[in-house]
Amino acid sequence: MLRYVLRRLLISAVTVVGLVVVTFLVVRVLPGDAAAARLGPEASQADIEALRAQLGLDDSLPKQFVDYSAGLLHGDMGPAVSTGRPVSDELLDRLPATIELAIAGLAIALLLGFPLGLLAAARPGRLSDALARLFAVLGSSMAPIWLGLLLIFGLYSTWQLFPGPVGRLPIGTPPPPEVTGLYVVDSLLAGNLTLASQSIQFLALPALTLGLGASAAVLKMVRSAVLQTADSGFVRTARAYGVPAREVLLRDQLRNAMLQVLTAIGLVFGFLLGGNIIVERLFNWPGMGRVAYDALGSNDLGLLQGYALIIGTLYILLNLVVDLVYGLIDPRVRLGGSN
Amino acid sequence: MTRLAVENLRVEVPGRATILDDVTFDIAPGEIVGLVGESGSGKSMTSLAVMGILPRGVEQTGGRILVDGVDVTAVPRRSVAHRFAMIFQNPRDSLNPLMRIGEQVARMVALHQGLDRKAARRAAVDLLEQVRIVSPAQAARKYPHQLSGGMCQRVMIAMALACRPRLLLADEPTTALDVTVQAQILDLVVALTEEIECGVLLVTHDLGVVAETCDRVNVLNLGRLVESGETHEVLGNPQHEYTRYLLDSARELEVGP
Repeated sequence: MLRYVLRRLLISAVTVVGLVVVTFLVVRVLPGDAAAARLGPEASQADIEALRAQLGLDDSLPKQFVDYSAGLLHGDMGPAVSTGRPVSDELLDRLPATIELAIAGLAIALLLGFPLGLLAAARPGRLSDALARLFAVLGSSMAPIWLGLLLIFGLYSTWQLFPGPVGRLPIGTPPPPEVTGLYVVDSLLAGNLTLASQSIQFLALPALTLGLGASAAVLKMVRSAVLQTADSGFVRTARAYGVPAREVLLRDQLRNAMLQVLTAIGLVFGFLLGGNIIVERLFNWPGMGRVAYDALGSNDLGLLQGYALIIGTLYILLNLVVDLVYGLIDPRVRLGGSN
Repeated sequence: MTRLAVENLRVEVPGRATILDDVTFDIAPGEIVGLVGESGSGKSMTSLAVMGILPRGVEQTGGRILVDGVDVTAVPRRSVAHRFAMIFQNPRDSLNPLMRIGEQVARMVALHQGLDRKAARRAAVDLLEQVRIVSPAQAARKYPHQLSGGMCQRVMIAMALACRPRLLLADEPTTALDVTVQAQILDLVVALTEEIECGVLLVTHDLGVVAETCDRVNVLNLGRLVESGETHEVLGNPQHEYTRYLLDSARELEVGP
């Protein structure tokens, strides 16, 4: 197991380095002059030249990369051209909001997708299966922006069950003292139940918007992975020896299917982290997706580079966790080959 | 009393094909009966029908299957599951890759003998010893992928014993194993059959295996029994053309063309 863990850690580290190189190069190759963009259309050529020199944009590519990497090691991603604040501050301030939303979305996706997928796989072809699959088709064919608008229209405008799309808390309400940056967790840590319940209410609609679509993906994956195990020899053995169907489903089929499902959950969570720019925009959720959206509007390549780097790194960490859990579940991975 | 009596068994894919037609044979306590035939002759379907686990879309449409005189097709499966055990061609695939083998045997013990977890674990180790696995307590903590094919088949047999079966169905149990291991597994099956007095239905295409282990043999061709009788008579003096054809092909394989 130790060797497996070390190997995974090494691979992750190499991937992060690769990510740094790629994001760096892509931004340098793209057209557009960061200095000109920052100074606006009115700037004189001389001012632009001066800023270029100040930002180090005239240096050779290798030197720029070395400077950039050295900065990264100190957590410095350079200044964001559009706002003047450091890129790392712009993004990391917003990271907890994005993570909170992604976790909530994943929780909804798992709570819905898992049992429904199991239900569908327990009796393939029956009514329960057909209904679950109908849900999956609806869930995956509904664009988040459309679903989000529907939810806002129905649950906020019409029935007033949830607060409107104005961010993480009611306007003017101070956030809980920061520990994790996740408002629900921080409010609970501060013992402030009112604030916790408010945070949850504000989180609900954007999380549902993300989670419903993702639950369809989880459902389909659980169903197909469990069904695949139905034809395997060990399930036949368990059935032939009279092991109750429920136990076969949970202890034999689901556990073996988990290996596949886990990979899918990793993908879904990665998608929730990086793919919620539209949902954050729609609900005025102050996450990293919002920053990226605005950076795109103001042609702030440095900020976009930072966004790509952070999301990419999170994604790599996530895959590392999935791989490690994989090792915990599967003795063939943990213990290696024969004997 | 016979352990297994199959009477006029008929199995079909309704409206499309007849898989087994009017198959009749029986097995006495402590007796090993062979069922031979080519691929597609219906051998495996016969054992699946007896076990009550025919694939989706395939149905038993006629005949009776009696185990110890009880018609198992007429009562709920769960109530008779404990009378059977089955071992298969690919022993490693037949075991759950994520569960320790001791746990897998213990679970069958708990299920069929009503023991609690701890007692079932101890019983499982005893069973592993009974199927001649060396240092059974250690082996119990291993996962299937850490064992050889022959060892996995021994584990399957231990699971079968856990059910204290009246009838053991062995579907090509040695086909995937190499020859020395094959002989060991067959010896084990023969010894245990005498010990617990169950009946064994040995499904195989290997006439050598039949000659070594079976008391009697049934020859199946295109879903019909074409010949049955004492092993030495059927193999020594085949009456049916198809049996002679099987024997000839087996000899050709041995001698070479």
